[in-house]
Amino acid sequence: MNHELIARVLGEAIKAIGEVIADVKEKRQAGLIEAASDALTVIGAIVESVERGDLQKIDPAKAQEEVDRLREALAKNDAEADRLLREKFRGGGE
Amino acid sequence: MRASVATLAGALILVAGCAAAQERALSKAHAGLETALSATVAAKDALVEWDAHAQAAIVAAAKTEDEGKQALAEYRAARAVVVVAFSEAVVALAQASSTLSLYEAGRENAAKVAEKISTAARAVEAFAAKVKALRAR
Repeated sequence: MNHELIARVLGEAIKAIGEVIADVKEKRQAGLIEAASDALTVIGAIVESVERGDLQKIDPAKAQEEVDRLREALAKNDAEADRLLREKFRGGGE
Repeated sequence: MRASVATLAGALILVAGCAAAQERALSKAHAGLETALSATVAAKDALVEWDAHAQAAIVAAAKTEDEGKQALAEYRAARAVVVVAFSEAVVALAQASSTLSLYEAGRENAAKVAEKISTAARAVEAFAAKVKALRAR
């Protein structure tokens, strides 16, 4: 992890701890463990994922690529259907 | 200051215990998005294959060239709705994935992730429904 990421992760950790404290003040004792657990697991996930460098598994460029592929494939089908129609009624001539 | 550092250190020790559960939840979310994308892309490939047969059947059923042209035009207009739905589904999946990654990096909040995943799920569902409606024409 670089220094910028460490600073961000710790910043989030401190923020989450503040939220836990706020939750403790607001909630009854029964909700205390859940509130603390929720906030802390969020920090844990951030630390783990940043260390793992696990980012952008499905990128928007891939999504657009799939849309383009669909349009191209359908355009080929259209051309083939148009050809079949012409062939049926004109015997393949233009 | 020392008290703050001790509090933070204590919290981070607790984090280690909770991290595994959260890690599983995030992995599940990533896997869910990837599975949804794979299923959507597979549905698109099946649609392309079915589309060729559907258009060939329209041509086979046409009694005149003009009637065939008209029927193909009507079919393609109905199909255009499915193409838009596919585009919306894959873009929504990509946005959900990006938002999840930003959340993991601490640059987005959990509510936004939940909203994006819900949007993606609705978009995939809408795409599937439109494919079904096209095939039922």
